[in-house]
Amino acid sequence: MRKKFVYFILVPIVALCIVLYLFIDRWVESGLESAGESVVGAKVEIDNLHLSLSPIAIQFSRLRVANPKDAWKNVFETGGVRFSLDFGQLLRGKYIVETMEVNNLILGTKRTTDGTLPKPPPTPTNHTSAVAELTSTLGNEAQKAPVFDLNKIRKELKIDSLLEVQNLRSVQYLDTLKLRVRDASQQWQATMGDLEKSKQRLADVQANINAINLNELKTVQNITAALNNVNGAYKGINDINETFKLRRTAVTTQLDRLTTSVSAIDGYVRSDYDMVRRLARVPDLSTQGLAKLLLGREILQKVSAYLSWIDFARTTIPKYVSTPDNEKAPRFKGQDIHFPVDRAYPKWWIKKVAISGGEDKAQNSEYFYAKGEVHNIANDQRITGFPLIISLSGSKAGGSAFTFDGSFDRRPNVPVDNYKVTASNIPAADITFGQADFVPSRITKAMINSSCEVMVPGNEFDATVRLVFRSLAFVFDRDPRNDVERITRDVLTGIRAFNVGLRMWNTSGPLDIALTTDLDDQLTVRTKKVIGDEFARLQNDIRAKVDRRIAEKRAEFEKIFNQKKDEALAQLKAYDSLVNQNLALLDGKKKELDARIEQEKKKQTDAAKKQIEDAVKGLFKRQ
Amino acid sequence: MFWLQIVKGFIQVLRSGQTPHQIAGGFALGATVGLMPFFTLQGLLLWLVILVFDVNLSATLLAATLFALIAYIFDPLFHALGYFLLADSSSLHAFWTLLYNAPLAPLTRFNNTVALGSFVAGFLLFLPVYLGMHRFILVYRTHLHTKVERLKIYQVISKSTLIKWYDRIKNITS
Repeated sequence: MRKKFVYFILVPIVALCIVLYLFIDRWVESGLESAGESVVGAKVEIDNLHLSLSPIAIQFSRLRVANPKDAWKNVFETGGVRFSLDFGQLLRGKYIVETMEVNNLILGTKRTTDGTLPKPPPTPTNHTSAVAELTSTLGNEAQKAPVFDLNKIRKELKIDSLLEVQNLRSVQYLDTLKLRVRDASQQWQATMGDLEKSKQRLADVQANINAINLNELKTVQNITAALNNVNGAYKGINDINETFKLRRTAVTTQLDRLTTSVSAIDGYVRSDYDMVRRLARVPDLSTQGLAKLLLGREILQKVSAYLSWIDFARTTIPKYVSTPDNEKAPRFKGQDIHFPVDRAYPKWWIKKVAISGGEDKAQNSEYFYAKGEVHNIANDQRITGFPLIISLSGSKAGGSAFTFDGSFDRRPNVPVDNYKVTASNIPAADITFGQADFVPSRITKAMINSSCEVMVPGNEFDATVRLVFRSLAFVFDRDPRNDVERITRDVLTGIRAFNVGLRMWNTSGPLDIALTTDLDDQLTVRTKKVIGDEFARLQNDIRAKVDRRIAEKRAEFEKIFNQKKDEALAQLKAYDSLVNQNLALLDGKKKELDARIEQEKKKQTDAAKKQIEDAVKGLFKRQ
Repeated sequence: MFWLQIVKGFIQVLRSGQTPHQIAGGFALGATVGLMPFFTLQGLLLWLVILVFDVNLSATLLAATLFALIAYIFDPLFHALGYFLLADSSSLHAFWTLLYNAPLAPLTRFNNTVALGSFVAGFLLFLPVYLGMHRFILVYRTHLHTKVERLKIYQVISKSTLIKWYDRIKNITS
């Protein structure tokens, strides 16, 4: 035995190990803190860490994680935390924790010291997050909000510049109709020309009929011949009449069609009016715009603040995909032969974190005490085969409660994050309401119930938020400046609850935002009653100007149309009268001729009778 | 300088002082350590054995240095031996698998062909080296030491100013 070695080398080494053991707690503590700070981006503080070697376990009395967005608050703080490491895997350089116990998790606690870290030099990044896109969309949404200041509307209302002829569909329609009338008129003229030719035939017939003198017709044969002449003329006039009827039907049908088209002008005028009103940005009080104007910006901004945490999860969780260790090359590399393993492990894996929300009676009513479980925090989910799952619920004195369920799946090529959050009886701090230039106000003392579902597959995003505000009280920052503000204030003062629905998604292209609220209906009904007259005047003004501009064109068209129409109808009427007159003449002549024939026949019958009687009388006289 | 001192010390040791068993044991252990990759569990254990037991350290260091240099030449052979044991010997697979899943075994890097081959070679060579060295010391002490002391190279090394300075400094600090 080498006694000198034992005394001078081995004993000091053992002493050194003891010293290491005494100080290792502090080193591990600061190592964990700096690792946490690099992830969170704000101070992470661990108190009283103790490392035990059998089994290898770590426990500490408190963990505080500062909020990187509000350095005087913690994201959370815990009571005692304890976990043990799998010794077998630790020898392989892997940190595997079966169960981590986290006691007394409290959210949003206040800090007594600043939680910010010294700022690293800014590094340029090309990362475009959904939140950045949302902020930009938010700006666009604010632009779309209707201007709801009557004075401003009056001042900026320049209808004349909007009444360009090329913009008015009714004027274009009238021009089209004018062309159609002109074409129809030409067709009518052609028809009338044909009818003029028939007039000569009618005159000839009339002359022939008038030439028949009944007194000159002595014999039946003569009368019959005249009758046949009249019948022939009658047939001819009937043919002319049939042709006339067909043409008259064609003309009147065309006239009817044109008349119907003329009545459609009113529809075009209405549409022109709506168009001009829209361009003039006069809000229609029946639209759902007012609540968006009052509430939208604040809600969207609050939601975007929460969304930044989603962005944080998206960018942080995949940061820990395992990378091979940088090994020093051995003298001759050789070859590692791998054998089947009972179970593959990632570099680090906390299989379960059991969180208790504290049972003590002296809970601070300001804070949420959360409990729940977190499963499978690992650097490589493809090895563990499980997604990171967080399931938390919390409550605080006063009945406020929340639940949070999230899953972060990094196993597929496209990462998928899902969140479901509900909150009830959350007392709202001051919520900014309205805008600097329109009913600037705050909601105080409101209670909020909310539910939120968010799905983030890859770079896509679909979030649905429902909020119920109740037990509201409004505080207005200044006196109303106009009627609309006054009315809106009156209405808001009477409102005690309203619902808000918000959906933001980019699953079908660019980011869309839809905001709905029943506050609109409440505001609209009341506001409409009061400021309806003012709006009616503005709208009538626009309508009058639109009508005036269209009326010139309309009068021009109607003049041409009525003139052509009247001409055509007058000609048709005259021709109709002529035909009828001829037909009546023929009917009269025909009746006269028939009567004359009957008269002649009777005369001849009487003469024959007399001759026979005379012959019979002469015969008896001779006997 | 350090290595010259080791050579000088080794030659002196061969001549007198420690027993042939201590010198041969130190040399054999140094040879085994020199053949293996340095940072392995078994390497550390061997160093612990060397330091705890009263073997000759000069012999150990010399052997470790010599065999580490030789090992570079024999690495392909160690690789072939390791590969044969790890991959080709199917009867050993169950044993390797058991070791692979055992807690401490990965620290030995046994699944690396060169690490295993050199360890097995060192282990097998331990006894022949020990016996050979023991025999050599006995022969040296009875027949060779007078001849070696007469060699010019030995005189140059032992009488060199540098070595004298080194000895003087060493004596002051010790």
